Amino acid sequence: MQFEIMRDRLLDGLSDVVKAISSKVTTPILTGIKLEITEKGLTMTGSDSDITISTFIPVEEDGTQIIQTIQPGTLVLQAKVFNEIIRKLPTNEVMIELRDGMKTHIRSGQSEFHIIAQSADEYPILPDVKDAERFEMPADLMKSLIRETVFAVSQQETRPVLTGVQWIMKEHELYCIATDSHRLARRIVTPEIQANSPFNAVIPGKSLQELSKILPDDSTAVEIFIANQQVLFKLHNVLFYSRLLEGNYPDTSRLIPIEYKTSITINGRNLLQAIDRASLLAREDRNNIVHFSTDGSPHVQISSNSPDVGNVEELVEAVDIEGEPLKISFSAKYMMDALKAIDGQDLKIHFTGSMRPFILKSIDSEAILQLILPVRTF
Amino acid sequence: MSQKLHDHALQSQKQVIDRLTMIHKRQRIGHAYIFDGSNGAGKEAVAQYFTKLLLCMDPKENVPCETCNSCKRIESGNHPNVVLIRPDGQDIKKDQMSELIMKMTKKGYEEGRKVYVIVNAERMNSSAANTLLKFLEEPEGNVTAILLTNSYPSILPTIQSRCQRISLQSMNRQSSIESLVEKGVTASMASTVTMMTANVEAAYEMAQEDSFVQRRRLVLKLVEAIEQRTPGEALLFIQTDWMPFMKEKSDCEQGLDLLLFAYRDIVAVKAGLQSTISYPDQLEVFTGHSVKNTYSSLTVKIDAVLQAKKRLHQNMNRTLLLEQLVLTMQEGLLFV
Amino acid sequence: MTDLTIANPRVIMHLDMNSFFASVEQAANPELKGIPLAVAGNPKERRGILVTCSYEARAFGVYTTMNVGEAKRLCPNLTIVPPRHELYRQMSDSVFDILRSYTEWVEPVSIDEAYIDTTDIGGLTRAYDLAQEIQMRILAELDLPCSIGIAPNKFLAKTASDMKKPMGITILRKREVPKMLWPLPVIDMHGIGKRTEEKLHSAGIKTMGDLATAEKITLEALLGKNGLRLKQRANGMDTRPVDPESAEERKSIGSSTTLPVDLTELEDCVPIFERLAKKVAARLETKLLAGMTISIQIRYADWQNTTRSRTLQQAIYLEEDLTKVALQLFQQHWNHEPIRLLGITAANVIERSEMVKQLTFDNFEQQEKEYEMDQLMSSLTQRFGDGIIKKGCTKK
Repeated sequence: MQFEIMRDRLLDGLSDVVKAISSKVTTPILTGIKLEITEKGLTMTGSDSDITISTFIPVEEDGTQIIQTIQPGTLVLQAKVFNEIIRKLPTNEVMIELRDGMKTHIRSGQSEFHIIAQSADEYPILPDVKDAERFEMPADLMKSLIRETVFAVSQQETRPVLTGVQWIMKEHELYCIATDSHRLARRIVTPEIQANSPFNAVIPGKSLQELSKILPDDSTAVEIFIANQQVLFKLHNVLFYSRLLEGNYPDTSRLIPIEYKTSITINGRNLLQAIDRASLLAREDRNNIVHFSTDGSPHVQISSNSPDVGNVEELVEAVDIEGEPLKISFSAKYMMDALKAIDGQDLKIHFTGSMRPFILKSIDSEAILQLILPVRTF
Repeated sequence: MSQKLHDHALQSQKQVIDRLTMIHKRQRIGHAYIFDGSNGAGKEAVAQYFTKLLLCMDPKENVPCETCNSCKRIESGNHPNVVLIRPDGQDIKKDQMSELIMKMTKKGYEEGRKVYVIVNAERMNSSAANTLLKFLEEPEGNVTAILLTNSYPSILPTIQSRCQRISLQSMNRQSSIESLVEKGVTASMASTVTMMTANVEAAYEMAQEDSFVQRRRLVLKLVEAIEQRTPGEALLFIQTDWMPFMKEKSDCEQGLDLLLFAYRDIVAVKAGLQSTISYPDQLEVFTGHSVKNTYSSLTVKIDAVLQAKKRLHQNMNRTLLLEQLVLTMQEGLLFV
Repeated sequence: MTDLTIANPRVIMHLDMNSFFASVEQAANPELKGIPLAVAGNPKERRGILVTCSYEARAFGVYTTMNVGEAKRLCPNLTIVPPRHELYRQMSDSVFDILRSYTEWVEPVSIDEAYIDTTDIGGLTRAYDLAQEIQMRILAELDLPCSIGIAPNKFLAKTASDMKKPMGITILRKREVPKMLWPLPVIDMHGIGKRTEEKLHSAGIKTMGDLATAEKITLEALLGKNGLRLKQRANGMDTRPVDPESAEERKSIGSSTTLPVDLTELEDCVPIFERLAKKVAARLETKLLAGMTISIQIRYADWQNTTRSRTLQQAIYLEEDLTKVALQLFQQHWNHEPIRLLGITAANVIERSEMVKQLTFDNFEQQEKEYEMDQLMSSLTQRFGDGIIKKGCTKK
């Protein structure tokens, strides 16, 4: 194998791939980056076994020659060493050549490195994806739906399936659901291009957070393929794969209340700030709890007390309050997470009693739903 | 493990290999297995063989092809669906187990079965074992566990009951001694090292190790010191001669094993069973000790060594442990 | 009391983890090793305050309680991370667990400090070796440095652990007190703050030596009983025992029982735990408290002691909950050796009114019923007085 490439473009590609490389992997080959050079271009792949990132650099782009393929081939190079070498090469032209078995020559200007490659046969095999499984949405929408759900996944391994976000297609709508069994976040979107076959997959929360980091803040199309073992997010010249979670996600639809006893319309930002202030007095070593009540006046009262520190009370003006008076207590953190996900707008909170789950929605959209279970007081 | 050790191990475990072949032939592949056998019996080699068999892309007559991409990557430790866990320091910790379970509760990187192998499974600490147990109770997906151990009884009974047990055979010791002597090891050293491990290659390597030869010598001196019954001597010996050569816990364990074998020899000599002793070169000396000791005093001493081995694993201070051991052995009474 | 101490010389160690939070962060993330590091309340805000800093940072003159802006000025390369209290708590528990594997006489005084009475485990003859072993084990198993002071009492042990840092072991003998401590200013003495220093200075007492030789009457007039206590300390005397019970930062409530015969079967231990749980539950009930951390004590027939604890997400106070957690801990940690003593302790105790229970999808319906029952009971009690109604006993 032998090819010549522009160093700056190689570095660009590497900067995405190394995001998937972890120093903690136990599989030796995964300390490396796989390079595959063809007549069309260079594909580089890195993985920590949970996620895999591939970038493609075409031979030619907008009439500029980026790569010259002399002889096609594949090999695996130590990621850290390779990345460092490329970073420090003296000129913008890099020649990479595999000679005499596994000896790789990297040449640029007057300097030449020799490093030992590993065989690409040792590298994990990425799943085949079929176009039938493909659907599509803009990157910024994908980013916000991740932000609105992923915080609610479980951080504990006791129920592994809850460490992921369920993506399920129902009647042309994609439901993204996350719950740690104390709260639940649900986002519904309608993809522009639909998959032909229905799917129901659970994507690890960590993978989605990583994906979010490489998604641009614009409306670039992201193609999504959900295969048996893995999901693939395809974005221009970057491929992001994640293993899926094993096991059945619990049916959460029956947990969402549909009848309410108290409904409050309130400004999200005002409420968020009040809860934030109330949680100041909470003790750090325990879930900080705030009390929330209505008494027929057009205000809700937020309070919190901590025997060692003191107590705080605040009235927040509501836009509208309907139904029975209410006294309920909940985790300040869960409430703040939910309010941040809905983001500032006027919103509706529906309660069905002080020991029952309650839900938050934006007043003008059903797309985002946040549900929180309260705490029992004694 | 070197290739030589590896091949040797597979050859000597023909019955086990046959059984694995049957399992594969009937496609009755369980969720969890325990492979148990003495040190050197070849558990890791057999586990690797079984893993290849389970993941081979082209098994012929229930034997892995050894040439396909899966077999090769299992050999090199690069197969993404296979995870190997070993003790991290003294034991296998809960974090290691949690990490393993997080991996196993994801779908395999590639299609097909996932396999995890736990080496020295007897060294899982209790929270690690309980974490694993929960996972074994509700296995999710197409996954097979292989636990390797040299001490089946040390595995939590609740884990035992969820695993199929496959026992590896130990090699005949007499023939091992003979093959070592052929290689130029002295008969007495061959007798000792074959007590320490059942694997001839490993035994040979041990006989070549200076530190092992040194420890063997020290143990024999310690037996002398104990049997002279002057308490000061033996204690002094522990502090000045013994401890410097027993820095690591594993050294200390080896020392205690050697001491145990010495006292088993003395019992054997007393009972007139001389064929398989560990220290043939000490026959005369041990005969002397066997006359001075009663069976019950020997039992007390052996018990004391066994107790000490156990405490070693509870991380008791090692100097203290040895001092107590020597005092107990000299007084011929167990402190209760 | 004093006679007792003379008759029974003790060897007390004081273990002090070196810049604990920073060391934990460095152990958790080796990339942070060897660089100036500080843990600060809110690293982004310049007015955040350093909770602790590494020795590398101290070399730049950075110290704990300094604010972030000032520290950055002294040491522009300072890496600042936010605190992770849960992690520190866990590591602290691991340190104390190691100490308790040597003896039950361990008294944690804070998250990163403990006293250990080593008299019964050979401290009189080989304290230094023991300290070295403990120090190495904590370093090897947890990757954390500590300093240990060895002395005949708590005060001197604490003073000694301060002398060499990091990774020091210092023996301080009572006879060395005049030479080592007396020249020091009183403010250097543990237990003396700014205010006390001022008062002492007003009476012309500047050094620890002055304090040690000051008239009792003067001191008593100046500082009351505390003055006399300080004089004793300055003379190297301190009779406080190492008390594992006072261990918890917050109150704890526990009960233990020595068994008439050594037990070897699980089914024999179950009723013992049930009885202990009943006692603990009753004591929690009278004070209207609940425990966040439940621990069990096991003493084996060979006097080995084991304490194992679990911190729950939810404080508990009911007999059946206590029994359940205790038995889980027991089954997980019992090594099947004969048992001489068993105990249960509820620690990290909080007021019942402070107690909350986070509902989950799996339990909220059940909890709602219980809650309504409780509400009904308390309203009945309010109307008709105490004792009108009591919860029935449900055996599960």
